[in-house]
Amino acid sequence: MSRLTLSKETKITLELIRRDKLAMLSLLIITFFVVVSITAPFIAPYPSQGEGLPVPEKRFLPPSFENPFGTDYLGRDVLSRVIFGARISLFVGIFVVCVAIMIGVPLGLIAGYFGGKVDEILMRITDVFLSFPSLLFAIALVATLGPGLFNAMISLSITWWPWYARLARAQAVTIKEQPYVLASQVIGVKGLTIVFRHLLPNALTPIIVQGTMDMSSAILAEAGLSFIGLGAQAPSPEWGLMVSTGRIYLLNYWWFPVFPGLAIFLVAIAFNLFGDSLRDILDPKTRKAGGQM
Amino acid sequence: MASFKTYFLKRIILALVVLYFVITITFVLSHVVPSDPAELYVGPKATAEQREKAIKELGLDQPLYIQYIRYFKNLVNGDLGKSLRAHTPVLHDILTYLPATLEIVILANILALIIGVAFGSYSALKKDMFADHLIRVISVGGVSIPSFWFALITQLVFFGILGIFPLDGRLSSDVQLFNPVHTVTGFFTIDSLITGNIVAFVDSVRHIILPAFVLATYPIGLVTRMVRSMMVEVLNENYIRFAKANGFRDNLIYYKYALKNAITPALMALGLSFAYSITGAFLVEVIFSWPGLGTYTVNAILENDYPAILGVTIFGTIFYVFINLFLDTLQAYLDPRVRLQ
Amino acid sequence: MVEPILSVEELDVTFPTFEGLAHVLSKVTFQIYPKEVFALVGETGCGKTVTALSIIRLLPKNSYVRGRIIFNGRNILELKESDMVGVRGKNMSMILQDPSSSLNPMFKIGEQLCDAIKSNDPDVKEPKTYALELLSKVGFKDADRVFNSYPNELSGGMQQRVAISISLTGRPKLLIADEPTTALDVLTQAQVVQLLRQVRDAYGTSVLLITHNLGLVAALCDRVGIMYFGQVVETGSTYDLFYNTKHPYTKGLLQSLPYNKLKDQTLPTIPGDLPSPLSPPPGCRFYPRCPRSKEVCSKNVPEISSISKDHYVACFNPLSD
Repeated sequence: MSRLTLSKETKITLELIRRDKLAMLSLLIITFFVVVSITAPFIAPYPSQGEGLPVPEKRFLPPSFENPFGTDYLGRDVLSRVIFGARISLFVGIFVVCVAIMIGVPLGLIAGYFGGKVDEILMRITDVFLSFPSLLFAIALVATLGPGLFNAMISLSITWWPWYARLARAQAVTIKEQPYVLASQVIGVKGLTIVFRHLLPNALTPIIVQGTMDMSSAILAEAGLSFIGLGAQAPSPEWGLMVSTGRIYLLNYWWFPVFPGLAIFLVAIAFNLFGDSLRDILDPKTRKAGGQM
Repeated sequence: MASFKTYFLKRIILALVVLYFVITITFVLSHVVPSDPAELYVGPKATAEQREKAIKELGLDQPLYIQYIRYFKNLVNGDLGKSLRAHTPVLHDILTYLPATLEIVILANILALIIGVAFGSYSALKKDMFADHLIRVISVGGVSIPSFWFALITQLVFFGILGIFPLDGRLSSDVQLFNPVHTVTGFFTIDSLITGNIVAFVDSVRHIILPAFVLATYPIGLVTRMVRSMMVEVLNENYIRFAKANGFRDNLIYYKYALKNAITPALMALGLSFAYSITGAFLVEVIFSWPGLGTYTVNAILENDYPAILGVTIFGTIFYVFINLFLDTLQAYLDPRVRLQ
Repeated sequence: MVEPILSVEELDVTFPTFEGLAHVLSKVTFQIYPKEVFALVGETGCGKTVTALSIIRLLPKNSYVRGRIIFNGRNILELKESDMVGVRGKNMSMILQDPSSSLNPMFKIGEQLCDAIKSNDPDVKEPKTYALELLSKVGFKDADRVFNSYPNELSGGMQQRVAISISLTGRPKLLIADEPTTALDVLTQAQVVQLLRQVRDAYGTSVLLITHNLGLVAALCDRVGIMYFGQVVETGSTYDLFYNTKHPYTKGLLQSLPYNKLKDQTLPTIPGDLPSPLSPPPGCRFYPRCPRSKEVCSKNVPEISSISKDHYVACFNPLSD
């Protein structure tokens, strides 16, 4: 029963996405950045500079035909640097969100389904984690582990999995009352199988929405950490780091910090807009209103 | 109001339990996780004697459970360790830098509450029309914009190009010399106003506008979204339809009957955004050279001043727990439905 | 000849939905006269509430509406929304099916009632006194206590009576009551029915009573309109409809009432289900389920014909005496 209705639902969902102009626009931007990051070495005008090769004689050149985004303090083409930076940011987003989901969702589903002591313990743990202002906790973690992109990503994942645990748990608690779950229990299907066969697919919706929007939060958080020196280190073409190094040149050579930051903004707003539209489309209440157009 | 009292009590106990675990986690983080806790405290450049001395002082040679008890005792007494650079107690440093941070955080959140409720409710009224879509893009934009970058842009535009606001700092140097602010609360804007120092007041306001505005973008986005979705839900309720069908004026329905229901989500959004404000303030302070906790922390990071970083984390978390307690309690007081949780 | 206070003429309402256009109302026609209780009867989903919302102009924004609704000499479908605000509450008002969700849970009764008075009758000098008066007129002996209560402190019946008092603040000529007793128990239903009767007699207000309860119709109403699937199939006085039934659907409805049936007889029902409003049948909408259908019924929509002075039916093959 759940499989058949899912595909009609999916078809309607896809159609509603297609009709939503803002959703399509943001999806376009996301796809653009994905393509850019995959093809970076081929489409960047100066790939070696993108990865860090200094060009001393071309320092601080303003945007021109040869260097559409200008050059930085080491003479490197800013456009190439930004293109290579896309790889890092997207990778960070995917990594942090996926790890947080992979840790948090199973824990939350299990806690929500089995209830009792397991649930209590998990709730207290997530309460504690969620009491930390997440970036502060990430800062402390990175400071302990040592600065670096990888440590920053791990720290962010550790700070974020509780959200997903909570989300998954709330879903599990609702779904486990559904008739088909009760039917499976009666037949004698084992608990864990129920959790992953029945609960998981039907709990996906809010998780996907949250995950999409968290992509942008992850990218922003990581850029912030790199900005204060706790994330990516030179000569990495990470966007936050570029804004940080470029900051002192803002008033004279503005292109150097402005363009990487603009890229962060575009990616973040694209993921957020898409997640936002997705949420409106998938939420049964607003969906009906939108469907009754 | 019996149910409110029980809610409040439960909430306080929960907060204390959480605090206990928070402190434990920070202990684990600083004493158990690192392979060499001593090095974190004295820095990599310390001599062997300095290390030995630190290990003795900090009790790092004691069994773990004794260290734990010590840690707790210190914290309860307000001892967050000593800063590596300045050799002053971290708590003292924090309290010195705190007012500057609070000034922009509070101002930003007030702005967010006002603008967010206004935008959010207007957006719900004009649902699916152009104004709604526009406000939606603005609020999503607010939540997506990297604060440090936006800060730079405002500096570029308002100082570099237009020249109407100062670049950074809390006061211009000449005002600091000739019209210094007599400290009462630590908030320059308020202090200068209540001591009648108009020159300093104008100057401090001119300096605080950009940082507060940049810091407010995220909360504005959050509050707008939450208020909008709550208002849309409320406007679909039967009692709104009933009121309309029976001749209640639109303004009355909107500003009195519907808006009162929007207070709860606005407060919830504010609670969420406060977490962000604390850390967002860090980034904004750095750009505007605002002498608050953010600048302190970032400098501590640059100099590997581990006690200071950890101290700020603990302090910030405790502060955050209490803010949440306050907001939850306020919500339960205003909205009876919340107490049932 | 008395003029009707409300004349609905060929009302068509269509909603755009995700799967296509839903033709919810088709050429709905009926009249309501002064000082009468008119029942609009039909199964769930036949469009009764949509009709009510069309009259008071509170349909969802993207509905397509055609036809005319003449009220107080004007076609209110042509009014601007700002003018419509002057109609609602003052000339025409409405009470909803679920009284517990009709009142705002965050404000006291007295405050909501006073707000209604200030909106609908701004000349009243002392709204609170008038409010207390209204509350006792709808049957509250302890008007003061009710005035200071929150809606969730009252029972369903009390909430509905408060709703009625709010709807009367502007002394409307027409009160639309959308299934006002469905959510209430039998005893409270009787109270509300009694109150509606008083409203008609004492205030001279006409009531458009939407219901699927034929017993209520017999007890309270002067005239009736029967709706099926978005169309009005028969209108007339209560007597005419019960004892001189002309439309096969009306007959089917009456026959399916469980009253007066002997123990072993099976309850007659109307076979079949309601089709989807996305694709209504081309001719008479009742054709697929009608025991008296002829070939013409499947092709053409029956026109309204007059049986007697006040008794109309839309059928190609009406029942004979």
